[in-house]
Amino acid sequence: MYTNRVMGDRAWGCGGERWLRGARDASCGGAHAAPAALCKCASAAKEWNRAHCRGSQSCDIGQKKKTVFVCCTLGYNTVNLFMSVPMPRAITASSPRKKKQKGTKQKKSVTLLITLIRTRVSISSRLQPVLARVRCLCWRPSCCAIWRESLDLSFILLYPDLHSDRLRRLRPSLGTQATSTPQRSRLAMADREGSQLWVEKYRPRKITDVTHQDQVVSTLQRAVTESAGRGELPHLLFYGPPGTGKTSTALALVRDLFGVQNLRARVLELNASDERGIKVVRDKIKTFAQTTVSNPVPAKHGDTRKYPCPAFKVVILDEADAITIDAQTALRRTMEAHSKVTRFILICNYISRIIGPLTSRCAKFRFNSIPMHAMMGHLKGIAKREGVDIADDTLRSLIETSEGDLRKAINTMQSAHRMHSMTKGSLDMDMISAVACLIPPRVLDMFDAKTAEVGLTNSEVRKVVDEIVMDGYSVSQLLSQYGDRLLKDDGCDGIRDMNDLQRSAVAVILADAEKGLNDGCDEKLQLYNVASKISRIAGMKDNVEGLLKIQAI
Amino acid sequence: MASDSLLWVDKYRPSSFDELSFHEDLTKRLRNLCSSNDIPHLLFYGPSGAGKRTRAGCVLKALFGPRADKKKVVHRVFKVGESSKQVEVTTVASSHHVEFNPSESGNNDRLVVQELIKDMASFAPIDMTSSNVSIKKSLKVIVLHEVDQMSRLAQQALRRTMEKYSRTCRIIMIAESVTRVLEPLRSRCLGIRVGLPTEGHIQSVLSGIAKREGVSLPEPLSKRLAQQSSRNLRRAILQFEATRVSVGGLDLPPGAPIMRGDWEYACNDAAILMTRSQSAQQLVHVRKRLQELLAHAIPPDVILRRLVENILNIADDEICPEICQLSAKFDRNLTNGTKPIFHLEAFAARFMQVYAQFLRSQAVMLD
Repeated sequence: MYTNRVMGDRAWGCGGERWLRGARDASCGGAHAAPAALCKCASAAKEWNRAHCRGSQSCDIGQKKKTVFVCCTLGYNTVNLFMSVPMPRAITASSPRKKKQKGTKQKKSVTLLITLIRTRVSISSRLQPVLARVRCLCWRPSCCAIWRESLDLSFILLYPDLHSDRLRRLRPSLGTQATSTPQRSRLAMADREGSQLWVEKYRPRKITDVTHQDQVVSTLQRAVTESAGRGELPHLLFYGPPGTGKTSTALALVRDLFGVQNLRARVLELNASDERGIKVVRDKIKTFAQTTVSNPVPAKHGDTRKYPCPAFKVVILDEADAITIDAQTALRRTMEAHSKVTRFILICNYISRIIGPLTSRCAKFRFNSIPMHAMMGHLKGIAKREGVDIADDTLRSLIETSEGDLRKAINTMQSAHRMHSMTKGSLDMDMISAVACLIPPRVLDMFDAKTAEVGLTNSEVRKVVDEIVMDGYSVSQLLSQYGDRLLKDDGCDGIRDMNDLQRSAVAVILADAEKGLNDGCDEKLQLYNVASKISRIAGMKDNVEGLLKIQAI
Repeated sequence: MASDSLLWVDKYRPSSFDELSFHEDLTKRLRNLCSSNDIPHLLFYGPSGAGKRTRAGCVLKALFGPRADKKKVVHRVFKVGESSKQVEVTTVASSHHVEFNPSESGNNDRLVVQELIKDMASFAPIDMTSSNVSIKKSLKVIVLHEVDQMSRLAQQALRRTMEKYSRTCRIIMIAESVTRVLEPLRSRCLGIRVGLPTEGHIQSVLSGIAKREGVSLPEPLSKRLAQQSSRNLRRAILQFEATRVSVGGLDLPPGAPIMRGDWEYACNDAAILMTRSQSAQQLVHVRKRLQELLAHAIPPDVILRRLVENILNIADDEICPEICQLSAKFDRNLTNGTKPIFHLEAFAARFMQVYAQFLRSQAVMLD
């Protein structure tokens, strides 16, 4: 058998050279096992060997063929290596010595491996690249059939889109077989472009696809084309308002650099949904940053030729302003010490929340709000491809309400489209404002008119507030939209009649209430206050002293 | 199941779109949404008693059919990191959805989002029964209650999760006010505003229940019930049931007293005390009432709001703007502070001072 041929009875501890020879044979004719990587395999394997043997006295690790198997597939990532320890142990415990028993027992051990892998995967997605490599090694026709079958299943489970056609070619029956397993729903998910958010669906895949951030794109483009083999990319810091393409640019950049295949091994993406305390910085990020990579990586799919794949890894820290100051401090030295093998991309909304020492280590890129015409073009493109019927005017006001946030605009459009896909006709502004939690103009007009009406008693003003709060409108949204109107003259009667002094007095009150709401105060009481103050202000047009008095409190 | 033991609120809670009685427009849109191939993340918002949770339940039912009704309570305990810290979450789950309230875990809600929700979101539900699975059936739905009470960090942590696992999972969030929901989360959801029903709607719901229960509900009583509930449907039904129990029989007299909570009487009492006369002695009385209320675990912000509402009803219109301003100020102190009794007392004292001044000036004007 192939495993026998590969490993023979070689003992593990007996030196890298012989092991190396075996491993090279094993790895599909050495196509994807560059010598450098294999050397690292060997040393990693030795390392593992030492760690593994410490507890038990048994020295027959040489018999643990599957162990080797997994190890050499792990290659350059020692973190994965140690995580994989339990599974080879479990297999080799039942691993057969004699050829006769091989069939049944191996089947058992393989199922064991599969279940182990599965349970592990549920804990950590980092095992996925491991499995991918196990799978690749098993691809040879000489491999045991059981291996292939069960691994195929789990492989589809993890990489549904990549290999389905390859699998179908090899085992036509597999497709139907696979759907009978519980994982089918996930499998079916692969074809489901429809259930995707448009934001994800139309995320730029290449760096040149990123629109309207010309300066950033051209700089990074140069880094991609020139960095082939040389690794000239500084640490990066992207900042700017939400929905301007920071994360998309970072993802497109690493995709351009490494290709999809190598992404998992080369890139560590952490965002606010991951634990990022000081402990994680010390353990996870540092370990990832420390381990070196070879150039080019042992790729199996020709990605090496297509992508530059420079000899470094990338850590993307998304939403970096949510990282604690302590953790940021711990990051300082890591960024510097391992800058040869690891580049960091920090992404944040507010650069002021990143400590100075980190910002000074990075090349900073500001992402500007996307201008109206650019958003217009982008949204039109999506609307055309998704079959959304939307008029230019509506689109324009949609963009106005989204304040330069492309993601918000796309999301709003998708929601509105979904909500009204059954009804015929094009989307109008009422539908848009309903799904975007906006206050409809009708309600704003009422609030405006009632608060500005002279001679209205306070209880009548309060009645309007009650109405608004009971209808469930968002008070902070109301304040911000009312504030917008304050600056324009085309608003309703109430505001138009106010002079500048009155308007500035109202602005002060709005700001005060907005702070209260942000602190988590009661919406009704705050709005009572705002409404009754506005109605008082409206009554004192030229009474400067009175206005100042109201403002002061 | 012994439906007799259920409260009327739960017994007559609509479970499908057909049973919903008001907001027809919204119901139509939701029905549209569920009959299409796919749903987005949803955010139901509106005051309490408007029917947000009921509508979320209807959405689930429309998506998954009767299987969404087979719910069971699951306690999940998970460890955080290597420390011995344990976080416990109580969830209600069916084969297609999980619902729970992340803010219950207090400061640990960020961890709940990072560990639990991410874990649940990344795996599609296992559907073995039908061979032809439609997209919406293979989705897992996570219902989160009281999202506005979640900490900022927890909401931050939800951001990427909602995008990343949009293939396998949908999140339905329920919040009382969107003000405290982060903007990035809002923009990822389809916002659905559920306003309070009008008094007419409440009356028709009440008479519907009365008919099914075999209780005679005279028109004046139902009108009073609707008025007293301040358009909160849940409250109206609860009060209706309480009134029926207190009367005893099936025939309710038109003038039957409407049961209210003790705390409401206490609040009303305090307001009357504060407006009747203003002296240090009176403040001591008011203070006793306030302390009693707090001792009965009535949330301080509810006390303040109720006090202010009562005072505004009693006081003269001219002084109302000032009272509004005072209430806004002390409401903020209350939110930022840690000892509610101080701020409530301060409000009472300040109000009494202002009010006394106002009365004096009125008296002078009359002279």
